Amino acid sequence: MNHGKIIFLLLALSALLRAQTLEVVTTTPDLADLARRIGGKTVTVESLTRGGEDLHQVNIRPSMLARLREADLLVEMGLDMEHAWLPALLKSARNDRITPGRDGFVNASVAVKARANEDQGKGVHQHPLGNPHFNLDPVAMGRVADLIAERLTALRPADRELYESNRKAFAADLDDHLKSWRDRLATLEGATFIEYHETWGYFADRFGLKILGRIEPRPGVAPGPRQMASLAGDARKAGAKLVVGRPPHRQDLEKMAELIEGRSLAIDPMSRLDEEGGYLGFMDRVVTDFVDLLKPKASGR
Amino acid sequence: MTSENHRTGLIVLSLLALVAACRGQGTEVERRIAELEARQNQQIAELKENYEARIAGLETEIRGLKGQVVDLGSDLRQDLERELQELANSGPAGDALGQTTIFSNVRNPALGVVGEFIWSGSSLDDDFSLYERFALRGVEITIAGEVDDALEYYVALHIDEDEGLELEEAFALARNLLPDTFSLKFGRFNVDHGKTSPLHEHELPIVDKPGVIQDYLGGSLRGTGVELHHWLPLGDDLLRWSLGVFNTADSDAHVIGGPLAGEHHHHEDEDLLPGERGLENFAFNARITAIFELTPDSTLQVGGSLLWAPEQRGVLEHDHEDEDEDDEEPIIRDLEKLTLSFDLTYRNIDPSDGSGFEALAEFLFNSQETGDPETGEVDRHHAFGFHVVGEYHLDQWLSLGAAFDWYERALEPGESWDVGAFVTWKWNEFNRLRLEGRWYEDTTFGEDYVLVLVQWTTTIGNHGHPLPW
Repeated sequence: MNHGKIIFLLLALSALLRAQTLEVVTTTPDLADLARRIGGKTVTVESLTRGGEDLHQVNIRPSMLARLREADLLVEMGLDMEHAWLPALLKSARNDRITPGRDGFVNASVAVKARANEDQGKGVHQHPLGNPHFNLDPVAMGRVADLIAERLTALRPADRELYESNRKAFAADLDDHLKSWRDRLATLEGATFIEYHETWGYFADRFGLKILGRIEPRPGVAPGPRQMASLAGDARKAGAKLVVGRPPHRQDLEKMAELIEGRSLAIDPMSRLDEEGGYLGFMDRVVTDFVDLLKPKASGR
Repeated sequence: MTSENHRTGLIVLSLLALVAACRGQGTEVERRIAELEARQNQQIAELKENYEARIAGLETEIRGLKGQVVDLGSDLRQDLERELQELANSGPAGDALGQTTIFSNVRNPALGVVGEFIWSGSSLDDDFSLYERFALRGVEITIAGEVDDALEYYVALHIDEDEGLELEEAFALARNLLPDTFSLKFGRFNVDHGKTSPLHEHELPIVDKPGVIQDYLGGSLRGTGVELHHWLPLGDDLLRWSLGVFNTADSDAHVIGGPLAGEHHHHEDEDLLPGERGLENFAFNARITAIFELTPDSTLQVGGSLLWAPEQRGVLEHDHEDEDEDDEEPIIRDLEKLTLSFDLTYRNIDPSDGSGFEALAEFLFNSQETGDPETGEVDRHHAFGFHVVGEYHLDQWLSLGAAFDWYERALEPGESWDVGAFVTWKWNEFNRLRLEGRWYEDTTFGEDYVLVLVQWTTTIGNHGHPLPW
């Protein structure tokens, strides 16, 4: 057999293997987990980020372009969450299958009633379309899973039953977890906390918690001592005992916790690639942390 | 007679027997009908019983399911219903779908403004006004958008105190008109040569473009022409190349410090020589670069660029306005310029907090002819130079770094070098302050000197996030 035939056979084999699965690319590990659960063995899923990033300053890597070039389906959060890196990659990738408007492009936020930004108009770094952190609302993510199932079905109608069955299984799993989370947080209903950046509104709304205010005076602007002291005064009056933000802001979180004689929680607002239990495991960890840290101090960290 | 009677009797007997037989058969049919009716009734009763049992089971199941729904939280169901209603009622999105004006706003351009203000002070004894001032280096207005799904356009205007309004770039970019990952850029734009030259000054990690870039390429190497781009994946890495042909190898700079302080342009379009031009008179540029993903947080880019400008015009000491009056003045047409650049960029940034390190080194070789119109003599100059910039990011807002620059002068004997350090503070995505100190070894003043610069860069409106390669 000459080399030409061998190459042809390898190419044919490669094409055959490729035809067997849909290449799904997501912008976050949360979305990747949902796509895996709905798509099952019919998809191979890759997340462009690992979960610890600030999604406004993701490192653009050459492999991202390669993944987008091959993708059959792209799932993004939307609401300008990925505006600083995804549009440029999409333009360069030149993949018609995942062009906005095609079945292969999913803007997850269209399945969600976006929460208005309370910091809108206060300064720079705005999301005029709404708060993009809806992944912290499990009910919203249930709808995103429905949307993913719908698009996978459009791309691969022969596997409709599988996607429907996986969607139902995920919905049932989500309901079970939701019931458990609501039960665990029920005793803390109305509890107040402080966030660093406008992030946790969806979570607070879903589980009956209250956000007193934000450490950032304006989005993307680091707090000064006066802002910290003023917020701490309000927090003491309101009885807020928890400060939540991303790990890079740990120092400010701890400082604020000290000022209000409370606790701080440094946590990324999305799951990590290696998160045990995927998205539901992440939300489980979030609920556990909130329950532990909102409880009276004797039993907390 | 007797035989007839017998026959009649036999017939009667036969009829009687037939009637008797028929009567017996009728009884059997009735019996069978009765049996069937009984069986049917029994089956109906069984079916009824069976269905009633199943209905009862289903009712029990439905009651159970309803109970579970209630257990999951009636408020959750209310939330869902409310949100669905809100989605249905969300007016603006629906309104936006219907075009109500003559011109659709779908393709409206994005507008952006970047302003750069610089204060400078120097260690020079005499008050050299160029170095002791607060200056508006310039305001750049950008207009960018899409003509359709295949064509984008980009216009950058520069306004400053000295030159007023000038056109920096105006080009169109055709992506989907070409196959694969080819794209075509045409118009007036910064040529794809090296890493530093194509950047606008406000995008630099330091205040000015390095001296070697200013001397060999004139700052931003700019041309009016067409440039073909293509990229292809190498596994998880990437290879990109471009090839351009330009009317001129023009350039633009707004230099604050160093030997070329106050320079704006090296080569002006006005210096174009008259007469017909063949393909051999155009400037050509080629670049090839590979980007390697070393780890999820780090990349290494290696690139090489070649500029060949067969007829470089700006160096002629020749006043074209007087050309008609003095037809005897000699013109030297075939001056050559060739610049070869090699660049290395390493970047390692933690995307969780923006901390990390990045470094860029560029090595340039310039070979250029100059001509004396009076004597007709042509000299060729060879020069080599390089610059290195390193920047350490403490987080996404604060960074400090150092830069070194050494080069042989492109068109005259001698060398120049400078070394500097800088601190950059972005207090938000739209505003940046930079403090830079730089020590120049500069033959212009016959002494070494230190320049201190404070640069404030502010962005209003749209700002692009292009790929960094």
